[in-house]
Amino acid sequence: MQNLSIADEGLVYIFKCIAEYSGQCFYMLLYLAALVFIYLKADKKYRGVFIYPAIVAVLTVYNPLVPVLINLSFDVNQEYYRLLWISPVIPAIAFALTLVVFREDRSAAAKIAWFTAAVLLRLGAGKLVYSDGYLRVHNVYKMPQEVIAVSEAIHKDSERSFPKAVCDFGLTMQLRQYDATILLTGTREEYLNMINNIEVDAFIAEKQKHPNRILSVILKNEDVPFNEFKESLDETDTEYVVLMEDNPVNDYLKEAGLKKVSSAGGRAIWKYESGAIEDFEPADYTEVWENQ
Amino acid sequence: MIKLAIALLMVFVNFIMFFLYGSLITGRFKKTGFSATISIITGFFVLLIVFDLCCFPVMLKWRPLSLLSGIWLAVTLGLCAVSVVVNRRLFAECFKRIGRFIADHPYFTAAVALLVLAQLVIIGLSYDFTLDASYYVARVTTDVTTNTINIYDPYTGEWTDHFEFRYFFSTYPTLCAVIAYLTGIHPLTFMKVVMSLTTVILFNLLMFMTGRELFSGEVQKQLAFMFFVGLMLFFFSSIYTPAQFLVTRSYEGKAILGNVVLPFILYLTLLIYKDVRRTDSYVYLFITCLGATALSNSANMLLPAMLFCTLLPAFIKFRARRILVSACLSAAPCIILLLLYVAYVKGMFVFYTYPR
Repeated sequence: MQNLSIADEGLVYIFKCIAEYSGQCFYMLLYLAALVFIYLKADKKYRGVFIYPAIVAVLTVYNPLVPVLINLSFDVNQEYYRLLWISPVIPAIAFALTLVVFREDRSAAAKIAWFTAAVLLRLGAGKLVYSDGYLRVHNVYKMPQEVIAVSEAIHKDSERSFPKAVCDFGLTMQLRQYDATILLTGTREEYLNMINNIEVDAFIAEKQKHPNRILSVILKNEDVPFNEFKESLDETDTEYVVLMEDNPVNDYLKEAGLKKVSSAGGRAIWKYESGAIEDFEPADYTEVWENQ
Repeated sequence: MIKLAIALLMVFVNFIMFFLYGSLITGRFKKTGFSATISIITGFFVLLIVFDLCCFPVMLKWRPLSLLSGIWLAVTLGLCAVSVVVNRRLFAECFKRIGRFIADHPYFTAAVALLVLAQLVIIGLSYDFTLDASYYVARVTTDVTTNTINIYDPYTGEWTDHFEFRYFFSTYPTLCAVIAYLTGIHPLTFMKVVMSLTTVILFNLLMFMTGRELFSGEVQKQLAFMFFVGLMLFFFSSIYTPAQFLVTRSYEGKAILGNVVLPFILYLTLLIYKDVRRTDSYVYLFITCLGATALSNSANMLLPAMLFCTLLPAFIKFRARRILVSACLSAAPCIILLLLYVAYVKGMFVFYTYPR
């Protein structure tokens, strides 16, 4: 969880973690209710599967002390919530609801009524995963057409087998999933650090000087002198800059002397022509294999 | 359209592979009876273990993906042939039994098929943007494009001087790269269509098995159970829940961990409570935990915790030493890998991508 720190939250961490984990759903409460129901009404043989493991989990994984103690030795801030996965929330609730619906003394009509009530409870306790809209895919790659269009446009223009580009964040996160022959300037961390204004230590800052300078222009529209921007393009062997058509940074790129070579997928593709850009050569292991 | 048809066919091929791999193990436990569903789930983990054995020597010698693909294909064809030969009678009986079940319960079968199909269509046709795909999917695409194994940074395509140890033992993306390479299916399609649908079916298969155990084969209750589970998948949504992982990023190792591995351990716990002396449950438990280490580094933390929470009460109840031994053996690979990772983070060793 990005926004929770075990060190900062201390013993409260686990409660905030459960709240974040649940989001706007009440399924953890339903899980608790399901456990109580299973304990009281279900055959005793099911306690071993649902109840006793839950008790051990409460004493360990859900114990407020445990994340604090683990965090003394290992950084588990990002991953601790995954330990909550060991609680079989979905099967336990489904099991309890099925038992409720199919109680032996119920008539067929009562079963239907209880079934409907159980469905409504389910719907009411949760939030539809597509509540912000269901986006349908349009190709077999499950990738926006824009990404494919940009990839094709770059290859059409470039004479290199492995052209290198720097793109807006959304495109950067998707382009190499579709086409790994396009190299990218800037890792995910470098983008996220730049977007979220996260400071890195001096050693890393120096190592990432050139990608960061480029990212500061394309992500934050910072007024970097043209010669410095171009120096960074040279140093990182970046040949293309790809930005949305309406991005104000396009004016900067034009003034810096980059040439707009194409428009594809709603984006402007700018080319930086420089003799200093080197071709990417894939590592050759032939000699290594011969000596093995 | 042809590409989609090939991808869908590959989902089917996946299940045949899992079934044949799993039958090599499940077919040996004659007393408990042969189960197609357990064979498929176990087979997935056997496949991951066999792939690990093929992958590490090739990867550590910086050999190409094509070589690994050749080795793995030969091993797989060999093992599948052996499985068919040694299990043919079991298969014949099993298929007859499945046929009888379908004939006896046509409405139940149709309802379950519809339920699963609805999930497959909804999940298969949805587009979702996740940052993690920029690593997990791009890693597969990069390996296939460069014909290498983990040598290049998936984010940028730059050569890396050492293997990123956090992902070193998670060979599941490499397996996907190998199959994509062998079949010619685009890695993106393989991950986001083939593996995505495969995971959803595996999850439903597990819920089917769990429902059958919980309700002793009463199909009406089993169907209601599966319906509730299916419904909840789409409503238990925060970015952290396994349900959300299954619905939006089902091709990732973490999604398989949360939605196949952990429910299978729950199912095996059910079997253990049913008959604590059943040896096969413990064997499947070990295979699952060992195979799951190939899915995600998170398995190394989650599985020991899951084993502790589920099997400690079972041990206290039955006082059966085999439960304790099985739990320790199953957790051992995860704990060893966890310790190795800690040693790596502390700078005690590193695996380079070139000779030094």
